[in-house]
Amino acid sequence: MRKNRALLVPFALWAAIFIIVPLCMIVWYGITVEESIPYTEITQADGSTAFELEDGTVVSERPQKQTVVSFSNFRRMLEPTYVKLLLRSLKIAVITTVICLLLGYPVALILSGKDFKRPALWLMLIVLPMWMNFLLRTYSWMSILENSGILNSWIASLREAIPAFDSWLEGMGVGKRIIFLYNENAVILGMVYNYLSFMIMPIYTVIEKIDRSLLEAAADLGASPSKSFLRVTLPYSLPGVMEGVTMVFVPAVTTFVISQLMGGGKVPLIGDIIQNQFGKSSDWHFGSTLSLLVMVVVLAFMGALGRIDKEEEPEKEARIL
Amino acid sequence: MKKLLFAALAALILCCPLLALGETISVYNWGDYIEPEVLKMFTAETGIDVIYETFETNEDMYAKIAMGGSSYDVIIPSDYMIERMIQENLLQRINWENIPNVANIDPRFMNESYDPESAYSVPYTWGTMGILYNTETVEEAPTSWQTLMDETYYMDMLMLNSPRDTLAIALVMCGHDLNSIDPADLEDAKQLLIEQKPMVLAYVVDEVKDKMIGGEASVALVWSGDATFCMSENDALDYVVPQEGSNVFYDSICIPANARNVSGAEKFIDFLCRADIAAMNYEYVGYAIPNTAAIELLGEDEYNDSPVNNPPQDVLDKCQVFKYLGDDTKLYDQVWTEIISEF
Repeated sequence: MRKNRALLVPFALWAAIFIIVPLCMIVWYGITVEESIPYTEITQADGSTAFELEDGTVVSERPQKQTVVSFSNFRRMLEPTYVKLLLRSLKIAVITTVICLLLGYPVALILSGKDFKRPALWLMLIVLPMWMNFLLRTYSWMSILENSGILNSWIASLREAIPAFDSWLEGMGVGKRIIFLYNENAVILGMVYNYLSFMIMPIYTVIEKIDRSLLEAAADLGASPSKSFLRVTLPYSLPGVMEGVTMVFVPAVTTFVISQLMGGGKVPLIGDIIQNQFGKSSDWHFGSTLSLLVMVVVLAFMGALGRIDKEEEPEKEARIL
Repeated sequence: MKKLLFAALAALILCCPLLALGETISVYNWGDYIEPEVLKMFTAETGIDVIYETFETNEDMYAKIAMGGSSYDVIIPSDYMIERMIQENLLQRINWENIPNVANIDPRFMNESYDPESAYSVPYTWGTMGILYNTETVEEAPTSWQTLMDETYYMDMLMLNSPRDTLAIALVMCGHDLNSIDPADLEDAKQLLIEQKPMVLAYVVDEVKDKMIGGEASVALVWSGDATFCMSENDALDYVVPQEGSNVFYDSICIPANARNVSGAEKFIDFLCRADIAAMNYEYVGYAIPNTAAIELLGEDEYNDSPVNNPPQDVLDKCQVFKYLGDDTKLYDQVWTEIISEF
């Protein structure tokens, strides 16, 4: 036992340095603000510059900013602008998760079917794109969907080749170039594409492990395939679904790169605003406060999911019995 | 475990002097902002090795210097950041006696408002903000910022995804000072940008180059340095600084307060001010330079032919540098967030 505990030391150190300390720093930054002391620059009798504070004292060094504990950033965070942005992020994340689930679940189900040949090859094809940098993949989507992109140039040459198609499109009120990018749908597309495999993999792993004899028993007892799916496969696959949902929802709610690239800065999410605080606006304090807000939202979401997961548990036991 | 740690530490300490053999200076500069050959020439001529690192934004650079822990001998920030760093005692005064080549620098670039006595900074490059437009789709060369409010370019214009820059232009369009911190002025600018928003194809920063070169949009708000690059890649593109005036910026060489090798830094700065070196850098970097001797070397007519290097003097007179806004940066951020979250 003692030996085992020694093995934990590296991870404990790692966690302390790279998880606990940064977390504490974010909390500290989140509950503090930089306050500058008001002063006026004056020229003294001997020609040197000095600085007069509001209470009349004169100092020779320029007064520097001070860090003070304040909750003013929490008040700022609750302004409609930021609440609106958070709600939009949640909305887009939920839509992305639902689409990923609707697309991913059938794929996982089919791949794990006992008649399916070579599931490993298909899984490989699903995972393969993930080995490429996701920025690269998002840039590819941009060059496909851009106004001057591949899709638009195909449509343009089709229009040239088939006059009927051209006049039909014109009749529909479609302009010379179709703008696919720079809107909410483009952002959702980018997210679904990037996160879909995170939904498929956990669901597949769970369904694959379901005891086949349970399905056979259901069939023997006269259950139709759809009934045995609803009563056996679906309930047993729920833990995989939960995991997939978490793995898609959490990055979707916090991303800032996909929204910037696919949305062209016109669909800012809460992640973009946080990134601004640490970059251009250089207000680490407010950035940290917003990060805390997102953290709380994600925690609340995971808590809710965990509860659903637990409620499923006893039922499952009953079924096995 | 402990022994191993000590051994590692000891090895590290022993190695440090090895790394520092010979004189070195460490330089912290923007990415792609110096001709690499210049660094080699400097080492060959002076025997001083250059440890060279790059940053992407003034704020990144500031964070690293202000947090302490790192020590650089030469940095190249922009105007408003220099103003801030002077206020926060992060820069040291430059001893001009050790930089004789400063004589090459055009005096009109000295004593700018961010460093009124030219005590802390040596101008390195300068540029403007303006409109980059595609001559194939834009019939008449734009002369005014109002081009960015023109319905003709509905969903065909790009703006900068940068609060300070885009708001500055909106302030100029409303007839206000581009450094204004009056909430009423910023409210005007905000209303203007909200009105403009449906016509904007995208708010971008670095992507503006790819998009303009590829013909994604007809007009874009850009920095002159990006304009030079785009124009060299696509002949149809042209650049103009609108008549209402704009932002002019300077990137200048400074020595941080905690520099280790000040004399090495001075030698390096003097080297960068030398005519042939400044000319080499210009050809590589593409930003306008304040170095008169280097411009003579490059051929004045050719240099001045570029609309990027040589905006009309009356327009340039109306251009202003950004002031450091201190706590009022927050106001800009707030207004900007309100604009982009309008949906």
